[in-house]
Amino acid sequence: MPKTVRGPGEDPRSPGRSGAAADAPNAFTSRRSPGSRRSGVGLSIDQRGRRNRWGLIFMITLLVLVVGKLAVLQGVDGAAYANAAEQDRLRTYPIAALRGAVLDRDGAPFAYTVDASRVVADPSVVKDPERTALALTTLLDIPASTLTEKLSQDGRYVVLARQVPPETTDAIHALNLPGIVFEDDPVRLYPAGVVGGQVVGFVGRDGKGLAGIEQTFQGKLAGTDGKRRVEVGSGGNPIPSGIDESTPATDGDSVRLTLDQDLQYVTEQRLGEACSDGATTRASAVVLDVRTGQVAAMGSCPGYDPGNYSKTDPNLLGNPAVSDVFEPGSVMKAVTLSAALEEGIAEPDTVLTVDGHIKAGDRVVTDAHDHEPVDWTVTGILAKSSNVGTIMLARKVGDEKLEHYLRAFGLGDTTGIELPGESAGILEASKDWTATRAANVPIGQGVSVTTLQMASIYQTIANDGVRIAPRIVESVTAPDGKVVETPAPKGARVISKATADKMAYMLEAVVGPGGTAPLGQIAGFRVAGKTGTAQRPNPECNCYAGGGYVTTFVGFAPADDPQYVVAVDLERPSSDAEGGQVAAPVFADILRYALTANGVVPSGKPRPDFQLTGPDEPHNP
Amino acid sequence: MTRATARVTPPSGRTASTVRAGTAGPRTTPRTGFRTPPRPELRLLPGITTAGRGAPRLLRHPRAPFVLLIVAMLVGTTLGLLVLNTAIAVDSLKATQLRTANAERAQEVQRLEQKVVDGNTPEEIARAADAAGMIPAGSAGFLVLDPDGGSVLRGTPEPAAVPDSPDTPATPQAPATSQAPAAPEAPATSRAGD
Repeated sequence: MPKTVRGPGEDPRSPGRSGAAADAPNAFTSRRSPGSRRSGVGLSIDQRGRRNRWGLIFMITLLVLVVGKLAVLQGVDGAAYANAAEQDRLRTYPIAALRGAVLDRDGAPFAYTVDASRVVADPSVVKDPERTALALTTLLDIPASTLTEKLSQDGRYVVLARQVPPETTDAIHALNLPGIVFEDDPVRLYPAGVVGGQVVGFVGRDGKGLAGIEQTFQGKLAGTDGKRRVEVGSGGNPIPSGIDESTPATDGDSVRLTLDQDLQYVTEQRLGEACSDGATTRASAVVLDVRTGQVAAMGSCPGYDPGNYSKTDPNLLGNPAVSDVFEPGSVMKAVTLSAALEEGIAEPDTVLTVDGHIKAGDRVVTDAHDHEPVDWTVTGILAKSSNVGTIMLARKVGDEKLEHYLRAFGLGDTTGIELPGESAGILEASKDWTATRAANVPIGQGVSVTTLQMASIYQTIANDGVRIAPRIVESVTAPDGKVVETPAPKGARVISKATADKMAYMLEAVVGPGGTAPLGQIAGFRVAGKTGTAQRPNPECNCYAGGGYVTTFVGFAPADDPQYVVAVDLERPSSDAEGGQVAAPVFADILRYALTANGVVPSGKPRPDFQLTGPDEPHNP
Repeated sequence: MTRATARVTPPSGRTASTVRAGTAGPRTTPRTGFRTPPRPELRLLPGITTAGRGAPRLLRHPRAPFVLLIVAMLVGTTLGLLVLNTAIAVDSLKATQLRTANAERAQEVQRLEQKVVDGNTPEEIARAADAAGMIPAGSAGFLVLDPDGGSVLRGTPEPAAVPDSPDTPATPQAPATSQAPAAPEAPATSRAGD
């Protein structure tokens, strides 16, 4: 820009309005009168140029800043902001997965889940808490004052009621109350109630199985929750054409048990009857299918209703049939005699001269009733439940061998059944046995078992000597209908078929004439079984005095083609009745139903005659 | 600046220096001192240039159809969008309605299933049977067929005990709970007579 030559008198701020140009108007003359605007303010070309340049730089800087910020917002953080904006409009609702059902072997439900809702309020949206509370009070069956208080709270989330059935939510929905929404909150129902309750277990408030099958199969039953995301308007209502995407919930698998609900019912009813006889404080029973080892029924009294577990004494919320151990008493003699037969030490008709008592260490073990020495066959020893005879045979077998057989029959170890809290029972190693213990174990004292283990011993004998670990889950069905069968446990041979047949024959004598349990008979069927009457430890003194008895009966039928094993044990702290008197009738009733209901054809052949005493004994029954 | 320069150019063509000194602006021009400028020419030129060219073009290429086309397209698009949106909204509403109807059906099914399940429990059946005056059956008799066509009776069927009130279901003599397993000795089977 050329330097302007400026006269000394010129106003430097108005270079263009000077001299002759002002006198004669031409195209370049300002039509405005001089000084009307910017009077006295003007910049030199130089200054103006500088100003323009700086202005330009300033503007460009601003522009760069703005564009830069825009680029950052749109390009770099854009996704995040867009997401945040969307989230503001999006509501996510969980879709609860339906927990799988627990079914009996015929598909009758022990436990299943139905849809229900949790009624939730957003107090900040609720317009009139009192009116809303009044509208809800009868429907939800909650006092209006409680509801008003909840609806007036601060915050945006208040649970008003849980597990509300669909009819009620429909009615509430029809009222169109602002700020009241529903969330999935399925209800677990136990239609059979007490029946099978101990096996099935229950589910806590957080949806976790806390007992029984519900606990063991939590992972399979629970399923996976889904969620639904919807775009909502300001009122919280979904926008029809807005975003509406759902991740569907995956429902849980169904678990099918091997239990027969009817048999389970009969078993529990019969146990309940036994428990109400005044002397029995606890009773358990297990029914096994002989050929498969599957549990057909398992129960204890007192039982509990899983749908009402929170109001039940916590001590009752177990499954005593697999978790409680007791000394089984004489039912254990079957193991001792199996060992003797298998080892070739005795045959069913081998005659022994049995005294009424026998010395064992520092103690003397007697038969139930002391007697003069008599000649009994091994069958007779079992039928009359002679402690002395059994100990004599056990001594011939030897402690180590006896322990081997006890363990092979499943004692001292869990069966691996699909139930939580299973006890292994107590069986000391034979090398630690004292002389007293060595005499006690063969007759079922000083060794503890569960009802299930006891049933498993007789399942082995009934199943020709092959033990199949008991199982209670038949299959697991996925929501898409895919069935996964529980693999059948491999059978393990414990005794030979010949020994098992001889044992079945001898056990039949127990319920026959001269045996300890004629009450165990079932009309039309040949029954084999064994009574047990074990001293019960008194928990107060940790001794046997005053502890009463645990009476047991385990057996199977038909003896010539066994189908079902039933094990029953009754805890009777205040009674000295024997197993043949109190446990055998319970056994017979349960087994009779199991046989009849399942169409087991009665035995074709009559019960054989048994030689219980030696040939010289005069009183052969 | 450029505009000012352009205006200066036509009358003169005269001093290149003026143009070149363009940045100095019109203010330098008067100072060069020509007194009698052809004023009308200068004033009219820009007016004639723009208006004179514009008017004939309007006549030669009428704008109305184009504008109408644009307006029509705008209106068409708007209406089209409206129709589409309405259709989507209608479908969405329909879907919501159907979903609600579906949910209601599912609830109805669930309610009925629940009823069946509740009525099907052993306890309920025992109670209903007891109310109907039925008694539990005991061991049944079985006719086992031989290969030669004969038959053998297995089991010991007995005639059922006559319930107290076979027709009036009102008087269960004992609670079903204790009766169900306790009295299975009385088979109601008629096969015994075969």
